Amino acid sequence: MSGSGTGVEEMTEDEVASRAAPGRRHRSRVGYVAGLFGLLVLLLLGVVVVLIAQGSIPIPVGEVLRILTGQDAESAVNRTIVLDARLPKVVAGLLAGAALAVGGAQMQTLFRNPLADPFVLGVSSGAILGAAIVILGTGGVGWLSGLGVVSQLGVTGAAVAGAAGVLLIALGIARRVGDPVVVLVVGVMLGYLAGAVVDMLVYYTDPDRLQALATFTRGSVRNVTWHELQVVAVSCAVVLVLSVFLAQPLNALLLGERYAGSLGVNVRRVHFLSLASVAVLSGVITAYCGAIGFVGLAAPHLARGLLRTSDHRLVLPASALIGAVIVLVAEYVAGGNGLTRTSLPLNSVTAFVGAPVILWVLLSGRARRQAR
Amino acid sequence: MTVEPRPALQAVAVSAGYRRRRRHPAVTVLRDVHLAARPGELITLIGPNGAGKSTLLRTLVGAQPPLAGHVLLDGRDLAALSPRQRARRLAVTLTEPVDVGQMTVDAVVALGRIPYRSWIGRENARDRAAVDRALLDAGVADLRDRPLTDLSDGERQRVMVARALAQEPAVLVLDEPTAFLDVARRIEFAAMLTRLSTTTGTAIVLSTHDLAFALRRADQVWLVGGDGTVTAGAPEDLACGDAITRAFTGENMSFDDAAATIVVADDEVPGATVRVVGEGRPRQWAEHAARRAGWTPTPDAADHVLTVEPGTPCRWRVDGTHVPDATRAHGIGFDSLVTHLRGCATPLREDARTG
Repeated sequence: MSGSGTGVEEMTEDEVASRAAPGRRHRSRVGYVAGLFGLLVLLLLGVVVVLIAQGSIPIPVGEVLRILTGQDAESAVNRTIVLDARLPKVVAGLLAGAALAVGGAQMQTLFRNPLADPFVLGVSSGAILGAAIVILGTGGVGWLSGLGVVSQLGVTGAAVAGAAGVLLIALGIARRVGDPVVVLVVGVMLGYLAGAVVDMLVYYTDPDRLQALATFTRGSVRNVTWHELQVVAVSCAVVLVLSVFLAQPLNALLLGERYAGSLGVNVRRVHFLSLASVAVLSGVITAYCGAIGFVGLAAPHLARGLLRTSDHRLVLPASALIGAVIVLVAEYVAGGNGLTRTSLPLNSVTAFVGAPVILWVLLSGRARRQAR
Repeated sequence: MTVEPRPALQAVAVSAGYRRRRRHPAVTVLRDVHLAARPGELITLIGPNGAGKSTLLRTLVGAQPPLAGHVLLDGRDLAALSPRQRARRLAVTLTEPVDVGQMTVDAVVALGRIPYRSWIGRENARDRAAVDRALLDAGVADLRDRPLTDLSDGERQRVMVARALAQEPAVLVLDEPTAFLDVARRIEFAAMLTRLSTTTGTAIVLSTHDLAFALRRADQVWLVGGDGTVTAGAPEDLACGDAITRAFTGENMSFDDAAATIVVADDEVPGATVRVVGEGRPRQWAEHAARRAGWTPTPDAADHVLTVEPGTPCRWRVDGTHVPDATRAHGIGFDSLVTHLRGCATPLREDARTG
């Protein structure tokens, strides 16, 4: 462009000043964002340590830190409790929170719907359906625990496929209907439908497992073993890292599909990659921890609210941190504190965060539409 | 002789249309279209509804392939460019509303740099400079830290232009950018586009329904005729010839040259002429009032004389040249003038309708 070079000399002093100003604002903004991420990381570490230290047998924080950093522990029992009983639960919760939150953040942009998340739109139910079909179809020997690595992967794959199926149906409907609230109701119905099919399958094949299934569909990170965590950790870590590359195309999609296309973004490819990553994240987590609700919905909204931006380059990592904190805090409230003998399902706790966020989004969205 | 600069955007023997379904025969809307947008030109695209404006725009920006012919962007075939290459030369603003959630103006404009960035999206100094320049050029530098959701329609429209400019395009295509703006915002926006086209050398193509605006501002008008043709030319050439009249006027309509717009002619009453005597604006608006009442103002001697004197509101007097005459009256304000003139013309109007 020929004119842009000469234009610089023509700028008035005011214009130069107004160009200089954003530098200062930019620096303070960078400081705010960095501070926020620092705080979130500290908060997460704090929750991790507290969750490991507390329980039916309390372990001093110093001892926990010594064991975690690989130093000599005061007692071998403590070491076993920390590494074999509590750490798998904490790692599973951390991964589940991060995976569901990143999945939810992507779905909200993909569906152009602030209320989208793997649980609400029935993706988790689809995953359970997929897993149930494989487990019951192969003889119903047990609910994941007790399965060999191959069948474990088979069940995980089926869960991912079930999640992907519901995602495709929901996205197809969302692109045709457009109204976020209608899509929400459709998703809830899809979830009920998948859940009903699972109940029927289980009831007619093995009524004794119905109780186990009930806890499974309400979410728990407590029964995951190190052995199972390998599959979860590897698949989630890979997809979480890959979703960094989706941040910029997702930003373009905020403008709408036609604008994104005009910016050179391959919209179909981004849709496919994002759907695939959401299916893997929510499918894998659901296969091992059950359907954990509302984290994927609440965490991205909290991240955007705290960061005061929708930029996915910041929202995706912040959502992951917040999601992890939510699940771990929920696990603490649900019984990880050792104050009670029994424990609650995770969903009974996460609903306390999720339901108000849904209500807030619905009501503020309506208020904004009326103001225009 | 000056050397003609290479067109920024060119349509060579383009046929445009659409397919209802895959493998169905295509419906051709426009045939054999030849167009050229030179750098720095402001071009308005006009045409009646359903004539194929949108089809032409979609074809020119590569959103749909031409059925025949080629669209050239900076001399290269649009179909041969990758989406990223195309996005570095061609930017668009659309009519669809944008809801980006929580984003500042600066962040929205920075999205225009996506075609230049690596896959991870890091912003370098060149990106920053382009965003700053785009914010200044579109006149939204003061708004840069405001959330997009806080802005008025006019401000949002400018931000979307800034976002397009951040792509540093050779061609900027705007789909009905002034549709939701009030008159003052519309004029501001038009002035900004004129300035942009000359200072940045970008070729700007915009579609509009505002005929007066299209003719007043454009270096070139592309007229989609409704008969499958597109006529390109200077606004005066199209207006002076009968191309615009043919494309737009229905029954009982005509092209009003002074107002550069289409007017409805059904209230014109043959024979009821009036000579308006007065000065400046009062005289101009007295003629307007007479026309509104269904009379034809004329500078020549007429059966009636309307005299108008300045004031707020203006004083008026109607005299007939024949004596005695029922049309003789006077009053203050154009409302009473129109009422009076309509009253006089009623018998004539009924004659005109029944006959």
